[in-house]
Amino acid sequence: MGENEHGRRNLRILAVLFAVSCAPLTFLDLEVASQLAGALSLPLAVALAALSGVSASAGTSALFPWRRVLIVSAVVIAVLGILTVGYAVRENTKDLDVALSGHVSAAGVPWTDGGVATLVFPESHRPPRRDNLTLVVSLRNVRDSGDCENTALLDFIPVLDGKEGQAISVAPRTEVTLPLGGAQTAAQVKVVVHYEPANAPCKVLMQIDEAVLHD
Amino acid sequence: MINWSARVLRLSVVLVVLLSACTSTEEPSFPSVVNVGSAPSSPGWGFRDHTGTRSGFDHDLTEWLGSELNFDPVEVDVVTENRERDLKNNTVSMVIANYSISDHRLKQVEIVGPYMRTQQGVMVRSEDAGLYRSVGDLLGKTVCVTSGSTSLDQVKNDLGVKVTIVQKKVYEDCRLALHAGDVDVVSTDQLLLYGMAKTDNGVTIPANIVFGKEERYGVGLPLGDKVRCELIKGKLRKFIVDGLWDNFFRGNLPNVSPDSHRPDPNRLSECRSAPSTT
Repeated sequence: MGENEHGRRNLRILAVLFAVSCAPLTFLDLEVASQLAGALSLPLAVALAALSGVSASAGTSALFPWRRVLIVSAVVIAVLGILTVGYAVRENTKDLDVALSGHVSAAGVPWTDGGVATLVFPESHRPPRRDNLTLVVSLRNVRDSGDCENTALLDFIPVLDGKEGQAISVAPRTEVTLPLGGAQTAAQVKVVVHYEPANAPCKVLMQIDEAVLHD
Repeated sequence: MINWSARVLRLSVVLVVLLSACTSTEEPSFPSVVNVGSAPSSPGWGFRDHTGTRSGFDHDLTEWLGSELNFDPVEVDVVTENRERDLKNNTVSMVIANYSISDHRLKQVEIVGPYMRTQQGVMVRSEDAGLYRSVGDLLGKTVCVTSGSTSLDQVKNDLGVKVTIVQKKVYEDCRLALHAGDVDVVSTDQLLLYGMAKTDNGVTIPANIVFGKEERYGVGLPLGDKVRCELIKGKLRKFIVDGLWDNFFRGNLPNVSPDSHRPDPNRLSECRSAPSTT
């Protein structure tokens, strides 16, 4: 068996071993697996690059271009690793729209003064994957009379792991940002509507115009 | 050399004059004549007598806004149910006629204000005044309201007792129906009722019978007319702060305390630049 053919056989064995060594990643969650693979690929690329230097100094046979194979592999793995890590970083920091509208406990039932609704995050956001939630909530008057949609005051209270945080009061259609950092299991948002006594008979429905999780 | 300097100087002067001429052609915010929708038969608010002379708080406000914003107001009669339509088809450019700010109307027109606050009440024949002490006493009665008004919606939904509703075009028709015995009660904003009682000794307004949400009057404009909205808003604030509001109120409703009806000048509604899609 010549030097060149020996090198190719070794390369095939290494490729199979590499593929088999990646098998445990398939048992992980896709997002975790991709992050882990991305993170491991960078030191692997560095190791391959270092190995290429060792093979050069060891004066290995010129019949099979080990050094070139190692350098090309290192570059390919490094590029893939950087792309994967970059993707993972973006996925973990980008703003996330959350569909809270289907989880309003007061849905379909008009609110009156003092009415409370609890906004519940969907299963995939328990606990929420970002530290802040920005919300815009508007009201719809269910009657033909009354100036109810803009005259209310809304209290937004973050509830982290069952514990109520500081309330923030804003007018409807006004952006409000609530801190959700530190929630270990689940976060909710309690919304309370207030009217001046003269508008206490107002009856309104709530609508979530915007709900974005962000850091 | 001197000639060139003189030419450059002359050219500069001509350019400055031309530029200033361009900037001075800015259109006024209001045309010289503006059609304003007014109520014709609400004593104390918007009333036109047999000679055509108009009077009332809203009339005084219309005249004052005209003088402040440099237009000549031409008051055009509007009925309650047609006010949005008249604004949308430009029959009138403005409505000052006990025009309550409501979410329903704000989807169709802009309403700047409020310049007045009141709540819905009732008016009965003086000889029946003893029969009406609370809202519960209205049970089974026939109540007259105007078509398309917020009063109609509140009698239907906020009164809390079952009544028979009769609809008329204007409140003067309701008042006549009350005296004719066709209806038991006339219901609308208490301030409108006080205005009617000013010229009719045969009616009483039970002070304790109020219901529904607060009514806030504003100046109606076509939707999205933000420039004029901001101008009128600024004038309304001045109107309330400078004391003219009190003068007009006392002059038109001398027996009514103005305090609970005066709005907060710092809480006038925001003007919108584009039609609301919600």
